[in-house]
Amino acid sequence: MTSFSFDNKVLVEQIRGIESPQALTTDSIDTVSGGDFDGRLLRRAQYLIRQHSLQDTLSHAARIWGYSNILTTLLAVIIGALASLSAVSGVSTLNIYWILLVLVGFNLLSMGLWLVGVCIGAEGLTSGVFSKATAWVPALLGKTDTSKGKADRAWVECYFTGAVGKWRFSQMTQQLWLAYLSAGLGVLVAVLITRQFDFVWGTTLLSDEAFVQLTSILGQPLQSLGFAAPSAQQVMETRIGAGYQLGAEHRYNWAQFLIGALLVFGIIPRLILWLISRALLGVAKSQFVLDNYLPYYIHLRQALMPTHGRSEIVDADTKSPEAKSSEATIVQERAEAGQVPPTALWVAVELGNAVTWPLPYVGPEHNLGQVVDRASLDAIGQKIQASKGAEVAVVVTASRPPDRGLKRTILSLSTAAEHTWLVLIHTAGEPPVSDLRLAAWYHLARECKVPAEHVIRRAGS
Amino acid sequence: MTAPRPQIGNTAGASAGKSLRVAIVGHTNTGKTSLIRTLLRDEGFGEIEDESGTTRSVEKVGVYAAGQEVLALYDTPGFEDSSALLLALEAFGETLSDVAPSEILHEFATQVDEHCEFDQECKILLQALNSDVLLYIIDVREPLLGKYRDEVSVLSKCAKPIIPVFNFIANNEEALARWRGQMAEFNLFAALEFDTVAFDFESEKRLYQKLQSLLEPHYEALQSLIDYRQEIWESLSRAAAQRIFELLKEVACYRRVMDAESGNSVQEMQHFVRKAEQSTLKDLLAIFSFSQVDVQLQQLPVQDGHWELDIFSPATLKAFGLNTGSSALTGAAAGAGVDLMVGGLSLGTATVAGAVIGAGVATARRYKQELKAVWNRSKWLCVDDTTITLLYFRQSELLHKLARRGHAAQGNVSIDDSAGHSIPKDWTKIIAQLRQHPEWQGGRSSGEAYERIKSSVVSWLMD
Repeated sequence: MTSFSFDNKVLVEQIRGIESPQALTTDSIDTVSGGDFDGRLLRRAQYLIRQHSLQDTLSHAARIWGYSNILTTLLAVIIGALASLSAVSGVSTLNIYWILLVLVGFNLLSMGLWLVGVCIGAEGLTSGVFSKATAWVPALLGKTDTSKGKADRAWVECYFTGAVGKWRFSQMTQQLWLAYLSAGLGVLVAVLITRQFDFVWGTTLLSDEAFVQLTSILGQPLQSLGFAAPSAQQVMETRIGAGYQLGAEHRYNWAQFLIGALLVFGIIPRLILWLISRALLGVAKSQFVLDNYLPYYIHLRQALMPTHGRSEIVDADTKSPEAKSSEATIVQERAEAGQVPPTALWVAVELGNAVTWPLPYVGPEHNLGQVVDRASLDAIGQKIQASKGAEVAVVVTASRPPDRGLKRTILSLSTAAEHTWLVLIHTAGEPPVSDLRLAAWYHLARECKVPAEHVIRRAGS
Repeated sequence: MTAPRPQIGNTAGASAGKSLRVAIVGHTNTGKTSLIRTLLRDEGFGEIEDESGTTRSVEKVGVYAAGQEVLALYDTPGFEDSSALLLALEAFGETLSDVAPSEILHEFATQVDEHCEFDQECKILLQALNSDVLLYIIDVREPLLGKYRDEVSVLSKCAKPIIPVFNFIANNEEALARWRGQMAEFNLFAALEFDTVAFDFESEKRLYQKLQSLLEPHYEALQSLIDYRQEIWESLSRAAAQRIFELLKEVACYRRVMDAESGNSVQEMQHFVRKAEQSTLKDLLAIFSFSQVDVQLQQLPVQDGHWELDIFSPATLKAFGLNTGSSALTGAAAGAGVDLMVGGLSLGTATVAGAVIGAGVATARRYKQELKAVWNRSKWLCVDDTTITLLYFRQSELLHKLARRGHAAQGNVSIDDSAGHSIPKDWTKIIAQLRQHPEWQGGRSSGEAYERIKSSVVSWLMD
């Protein structure tokens, strides 16, 4: 199983970029089934890459980045070499602290700003002008509406924003300084090997003692690493205007001091910071997460990780549905409705709480009660049978959907009666009864041998 | 696709493997299919109509947790004539001696040709016998009738745990209490309130917890389902809140140089806001699996993919209890949603020393437009506070209703109620901060300030 590494996440993000706003077509989704969401997401992306031949499109940004990385590093090497050369060319006496300032001083200043930036979390300081200068890349790439442009934009956003971007730029910064310093050191060593220089230093503002102390402080770490450093006397003898002729050992000590200072205060710290940046870049990459709350991923989760399966009929209805009355029939039948005779007996069937029984116009002598269960149905049925030739008005709630149970109840009552009316009650607070529902009641009335003109609609209490 | 009628011991239930088989039973038109739709959040399941006998087959659907089927839900036809069924069962039972009630049910249901009038009920009984638990759906608006007691009597013979599920409980507290009492007479105390219209994830969770308490062997699987559903639910809510934040950010960060002569800038800005809101609406409905077709079915206040009430309509402002006092554009129509910012006004507020020192190039680029505006004495066109606030209210109201709404709901989701809306504490400050960052518009934004604002707005929306 392929792990969901940073590179794979970038791949998925690039596919997201390409699929915005229109998803790529897939001829199969079965290939991504199984495993967790991340795995399915990756397999889908890989499948789409193969299906749509997107390999070149997706690797475009990385290739460009690779070339520009090599180019800028080469540029740093050239600048470092030139800086070193310009410091030593055309002279036979080197101003030791001026060279150190040129090769190491600005480096230390930049490093200091970087450290402050890391401490206070200021993106501008940690990634420097370099990162800010490339901040226009996503916006520029965003203007190209091609798949390549979208994929490049997604790649840049993954690699150069957030924590990954911060440490990538940090690593890049250290790498460029490292290249600059190494080239500078290389050139310096080569020149010192092939030419003989005298060393001097001078100051206008500081005291001579300060330089002696500075050299002593800077020399301690160098000496611990095996480099030679000039003694206090040698420092004083090197001052401009001291008139002292430097010996071979003297020159050797200063040369060692220069190379050692470049190495210890330039290259080694940069190397350490490069390693730290690289390590933290690895951490940032491992902690990189896709924004699974984006509608794109929510939609994919719903598609790739369904929360339910497809429904299947496990016990099918084999009967053909019963024919139902059309709305046109109802309109016709409704127009012919008659009146309930005044002598009719009234029966309510499962009226519910919304209707008060008996209705105001049903006198006690005509009220047979309400059917709410088997016992009440039996009792009322017996009463109807006892009243030979009874005319019965069966009251139901029009809003209730008629079913087989109601049909059986009404049929039972109508069978016992001589004539039956079906009274559909509609209470004021209820929503209007649809024609379809009325059609169902007329259909039921017909099945119960209740003629259409005996179906009456009335308002309830 | 159809399958042969299930038989005990060789049924669809057995094919579901170790998943818990749950039969959804009840009287016709009580909301059985609706309950499943709401649980699945899928409006495509089954068929719902306002008449009896809409569901005439037994339909199975599996509910998954991380790709594993945990529940198998069986939608069954509704009982239509349980009183007659009970009588028929009692008569049939007298012909058999020393047979358990469940066996009588099974014999009765498998001899369906002899009881063809109870064809639908036989399907229910067979599925109930082949399930682990029965969810008995009750429309609490219905009176306590004998036929319902008969239904419970019949189901009790299945010897399966029964959980009464009270549906349509909103504003029906008295009826609910009556039904609870009725179920207690059958010793059915483990009942559940689950409104398929006013859906609440907590109710869904309680349903699974009830199943856990009744079916100990499935406890772990059900817990994994609860956890998974909770995670999914939260992710949906967070995704929706995050999407709304994106809308607010895009609108608040909007900035164009005012074209005083043609006035096209205002129209362009209004078009931008409408388009952004429409896109958000589309995404929100998709997040909660509400399709555009469903929008029409559900009567959301949306037509042809647009809100019925335009965001810049004074009627919308009024509906949310907002006034147009904050609109600063001279001569602009009420509710035009326009605010003006003098060029360079914001310069300096978002500038930090570090950014200036370390990012001179970017800083120059960032403020180039503003510096140019200062030089030219031109004005910026922005979306005013009132419009952004209105967007926030309308979207948060929609989010709230979508998140609570059952997929079986048939009524209207009204998004025009300002009741309960209040502007968050740091709202003005956050809008001001967003306005300072036009570069956040479009594409991926990052940075601590951005994340802080995003986190605040998302948490407001999710509260």
